[in-house]
Amino acid sequence: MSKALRPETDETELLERAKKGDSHAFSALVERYQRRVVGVALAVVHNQDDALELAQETFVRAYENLGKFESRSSFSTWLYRIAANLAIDFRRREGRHVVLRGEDAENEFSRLPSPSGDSFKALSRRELNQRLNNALKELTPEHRAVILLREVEGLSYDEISEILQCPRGTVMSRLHYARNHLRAVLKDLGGG
Amino acid sequence: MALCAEIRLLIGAFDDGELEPHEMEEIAFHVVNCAECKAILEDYRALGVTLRDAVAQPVLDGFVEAVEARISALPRPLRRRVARYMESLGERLAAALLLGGAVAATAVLTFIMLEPGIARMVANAGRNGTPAAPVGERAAPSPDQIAGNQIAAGNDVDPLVTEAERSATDDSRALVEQLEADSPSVALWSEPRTDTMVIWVPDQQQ
Repeated sequence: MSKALRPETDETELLERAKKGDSHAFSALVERYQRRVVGVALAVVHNQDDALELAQETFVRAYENLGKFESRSSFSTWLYRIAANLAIDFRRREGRHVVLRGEDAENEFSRLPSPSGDSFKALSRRELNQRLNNALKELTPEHRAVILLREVEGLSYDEISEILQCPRGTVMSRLHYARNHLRAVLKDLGGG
Repeated sequence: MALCAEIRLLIGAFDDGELEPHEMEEIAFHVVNCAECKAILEDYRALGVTLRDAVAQPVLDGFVEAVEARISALPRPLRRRVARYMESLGERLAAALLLGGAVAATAVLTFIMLEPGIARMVANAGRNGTPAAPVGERAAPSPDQIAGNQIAAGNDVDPLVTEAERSATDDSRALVEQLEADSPSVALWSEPRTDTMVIWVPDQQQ
């Protein structure tokens, strides 16, 4: 077994040691990225139990494929991409989401109320959260992932683009759609 | 209005700081002067705050341990098992080599320390025909040995030995015989390296 790891141990060193089979080093990496990986999975599946399960699976897959990681991207981005792929596949298999496409999406936009800027304030926090979570479930996994990765995880467009393996322009358009959809739902509830 | 439609496509990216500097400047200027676009921007900001509040973060207690358990339950690939075995074999081999080296070094050092005595004893044994003993513990040589040594020391007629040398040898032999008569523990041997004859006489005062 290896010696105890300092909290500030460099990521590169941890990776090298983990590649050589040092389980303590890999555990340190899990400790370091667990919250973000769970966040990425949660952004797609929108269910805590599923997200935790998928995050665990992400780290197991990463451990099994550490030898293939060549540091072309950052380790964190590589991890998030595994998590996002697993979560999107899971979501597709489960098929529990309602997708708004074409006319439905257009209708959703047409319900946009006239902007007042303070209509959200009319809602209680609990109502807001409930309504927002329901609205998130109505989004496709791709749209939900993009807006949660941006707004909750604080990732940049480039990072989201790399994790979800789609062009930056797609990230922008998905974000625009998701924001407008959520805003419409909240405005509708606010009676604006 | 057409301008507003275009601007609204970029308001989110503007709020995220993901536009080019000239676009950022253009939208900032527009939003200041357009109440509707400004309201949309405020809605987006409020939406972000609400989202962060609405999406509860899972409790991660025991997460690392769960991952460790799943990893330890994985079947180990043959390649990794072989690598692990070779690694442990290498460690054991290195330890064995280290131990062997230490033993060899000790043996060499011991030999070097004992070598002068060993060499002398071996040389003496070769000349006397008996196992050598340290000088201080040497037993008195037998009469046959002394006779043999005397022959070796000069009883053979050597054409190259002068009369003076032969006379000196005779004197030495007489001296040795006298010493032997006085003390039976007198010992006599030659030192080929220095080409000298050594006569060992016990301390007379003791």
